[in-house]
Amino acid sequence: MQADNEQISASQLTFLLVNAITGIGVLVIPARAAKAAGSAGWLAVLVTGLICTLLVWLIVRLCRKYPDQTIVEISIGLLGKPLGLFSVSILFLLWLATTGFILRTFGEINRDFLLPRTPIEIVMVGTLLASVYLARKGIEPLARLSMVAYPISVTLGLGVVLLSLIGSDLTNLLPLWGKGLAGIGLGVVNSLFAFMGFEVLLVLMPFLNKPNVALRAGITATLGITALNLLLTVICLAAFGAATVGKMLWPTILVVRNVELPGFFLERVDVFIFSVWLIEIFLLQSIMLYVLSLTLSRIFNVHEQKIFVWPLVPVIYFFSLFPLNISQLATFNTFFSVALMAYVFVQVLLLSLLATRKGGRAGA
Amino acid sequence: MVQKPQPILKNEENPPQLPLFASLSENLDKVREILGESNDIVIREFKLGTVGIKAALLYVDGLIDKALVCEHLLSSVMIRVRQVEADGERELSAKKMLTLINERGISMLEVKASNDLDRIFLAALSGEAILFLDGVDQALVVSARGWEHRGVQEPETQTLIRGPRVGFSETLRVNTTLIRRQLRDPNLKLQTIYLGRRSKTEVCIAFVDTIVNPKILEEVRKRLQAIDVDVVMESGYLEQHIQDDWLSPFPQVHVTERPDHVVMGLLQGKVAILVDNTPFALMVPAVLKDFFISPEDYYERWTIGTLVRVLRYGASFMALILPALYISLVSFHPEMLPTKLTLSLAAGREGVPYPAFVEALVMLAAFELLREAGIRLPGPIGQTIGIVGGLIVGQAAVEASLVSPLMIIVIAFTGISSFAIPNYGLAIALRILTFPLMILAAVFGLFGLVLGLFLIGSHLVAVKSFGVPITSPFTPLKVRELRDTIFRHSMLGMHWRPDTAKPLDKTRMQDKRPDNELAVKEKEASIAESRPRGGK
Repeated sequence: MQADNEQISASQLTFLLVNAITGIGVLVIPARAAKAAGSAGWLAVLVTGLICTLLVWLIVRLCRKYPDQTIVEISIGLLGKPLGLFSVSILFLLWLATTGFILRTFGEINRDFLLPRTPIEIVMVGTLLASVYLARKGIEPLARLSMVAYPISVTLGLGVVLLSLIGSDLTNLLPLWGKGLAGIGLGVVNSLFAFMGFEVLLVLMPFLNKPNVALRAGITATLGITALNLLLTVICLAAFGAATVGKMLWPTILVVRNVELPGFFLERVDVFIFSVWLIEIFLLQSIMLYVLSLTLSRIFNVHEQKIFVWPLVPVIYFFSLFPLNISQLATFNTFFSVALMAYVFVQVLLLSLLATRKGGRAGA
Repeated sequence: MVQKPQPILKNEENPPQLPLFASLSENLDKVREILGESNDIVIREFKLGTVGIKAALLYVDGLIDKALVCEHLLSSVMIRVRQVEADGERELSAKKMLTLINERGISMLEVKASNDLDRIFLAALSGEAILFLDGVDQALVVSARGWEHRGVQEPETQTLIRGPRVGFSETLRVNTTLIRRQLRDPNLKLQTIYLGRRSKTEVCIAFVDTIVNPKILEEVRKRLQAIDVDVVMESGYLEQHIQDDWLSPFPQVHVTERPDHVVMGLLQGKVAILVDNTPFALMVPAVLKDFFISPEDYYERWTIGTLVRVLRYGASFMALILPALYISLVSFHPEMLPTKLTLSLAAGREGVPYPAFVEALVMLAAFELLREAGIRLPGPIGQTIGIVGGLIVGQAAVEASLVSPLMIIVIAFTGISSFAIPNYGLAIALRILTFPLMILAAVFGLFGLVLGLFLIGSHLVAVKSFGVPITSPFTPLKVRELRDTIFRHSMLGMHWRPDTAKPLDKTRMQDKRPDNELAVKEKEASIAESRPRGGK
């Protein structure tokens, strides 16, 4: 009935990207950065942000040459069918795994803050089922909802987080160099988890109503997220100090817990803010489900994206159950985010080189 | 009937489905055969002129203005024919007679010729008088409608403090008049189609030619014409046939009883659908923000309009989530509340044997029951029921420790909030959605509540009304239009029509005050913005 749900504007794409990136990352980034880089965690975040911006630039540069094609068609076109399909399948599997682990991460956070006694499996299945509905509706409704939900959640969340600056100690940011260059390097590797998500550009770009604004949208999204993550890291570092933050699991929520709003009808603001943030997490799952099902439909060369959503649900659930405990989950998160980023980097670079070698013929 | 006879008078429609015969007796036999022995069908036979051409008048008793027909049709025709003959034209033929009667014999406003019995039946049953003449295969359809109807009264569902005390009534013609009187624009077009295989209900599509988007108009026509039911009882029948998503709890068509509201919609490029026999008009496309608007918002100054708008949006949110929020806070997250509140809550719930969910469900069900019962009862008794049900039963329930006092407050607040929404359809939708949200909150606490809200949100962003996403202009975001959503912009700042219905003519107002530098700047900015920039 709604065949025209196929076009998004630049600002909608920005919000989609931002949503795909932030869902879970913002809740953990200060701890991940501070654990490795100490008080220089914010520097690690900044560097990671810049690296990701560079990656976005690479992706856009490649995809712009093929305005109607996703990474699937581009790969097949440049690498040939078997090799192209193989390379895209690896990307797909990496996405699938990270989506599963993100779901698990959310389940763990939810257990800590909202539903301590509810089995984590039920929460995860509920989240997945809820996101299926939107993922089946197509890209336009996805973009619309993220454009409404994101500003509200971020404004509320950030407003409260900023309040926690009262009583924090900026000297906690010293020494600026933290644990040194190696620490910052490790911090970058750790922080990548909070930045992955922008690579969905690879499949979403053809939906832009004007392809030439993709770069602006992508860069805005990554830089915006970098600023947000940077702010959160600085605030958490200032509030708790590097050593404490590094040991925390979900520092951003804990920083909110410190906030007291006298006269507000709620005492525990952190639970409230986390509840508002839940919408972002559902949206993140929907976006990933959409991206995954879209990739699948392109791999199988089927026009309909919808039909691939339901089959993905058990697979993602399976991946989410894979880590045995929370520390293994953290390792998985780091490993797979780095693998995903590295893989995207290599693939995009390779394809770009091939595209240039083929010359202007393929370009549009 | 070998050769098709040339009609004497221009017919209103060709070709006939069921052509008239030339002979009167055959025609009347056919009429009697089809209309049968109904006691309200009247056929008055008489003769005209010296030759005595047989003639007959067909009408439905009660649907026509009898005095008018006697005076200006029957007597006028008889006298006129006699006069003409006295002037020397003897022995008029039937054909000549028909022309004569049409041109000079009937001193009434609307006369049409028809040679189609189908059309004639429809006309007669709509309250026209039909004049048959022997020897001609045409009949004259004379508009003489006049029946008992309710006068123009203040609408009961949409009362205003300030604004015209005028509402639609059950007669379509009266309703179109009410619109015309507010909008003397030659571009206001009222087109009629007949819907319902049996009821042949007159449906009027109203729009302003130079504003309405032709695509939307075409879509409305297409959807209306696709309707093939036997009867159209009320505009609700049409609403349910033409809406985009029948599964959605949210209304996608704007229903109103107020002519000023319809005119407001027409000037935004909407298409209004008026149906005979009902005071409720439909307007499409309708987006969510329209349901929060009462025409009064624009009659009062902007500060007042803004205050009530903010209240309404807040109220609708409250009506949706309050019981679910209560349940999740009480049963899952009491630590979220301030300690004192938690303690008083616990004290209030002391002795209440049921979980918060059951408490809320019972009270909400009781409230819905009271509301429904209040509607069925006549005014004063309805109020009594409200007092007895609300106050006394509520008090007793608390004293009997069946529910906690806070629960009563929550339910009362929810109920009042739902009544603050101007649109009944939306209020009902939110009230329905309260129940699933409560269940989710009872099972999953805040997680369930947010999950429910997310699902509602996902649904809303996907619903369209005649091609327009109903969440517009919030998302897809149109910054320029946000000024007249939750807030009501100043009259002087509303230069542009809302873009909901994608109107052709976008300018609503020009600020001709001499000191309007700001307005000029703003206008330039919006022109720049309105250039195709992508996004819908």
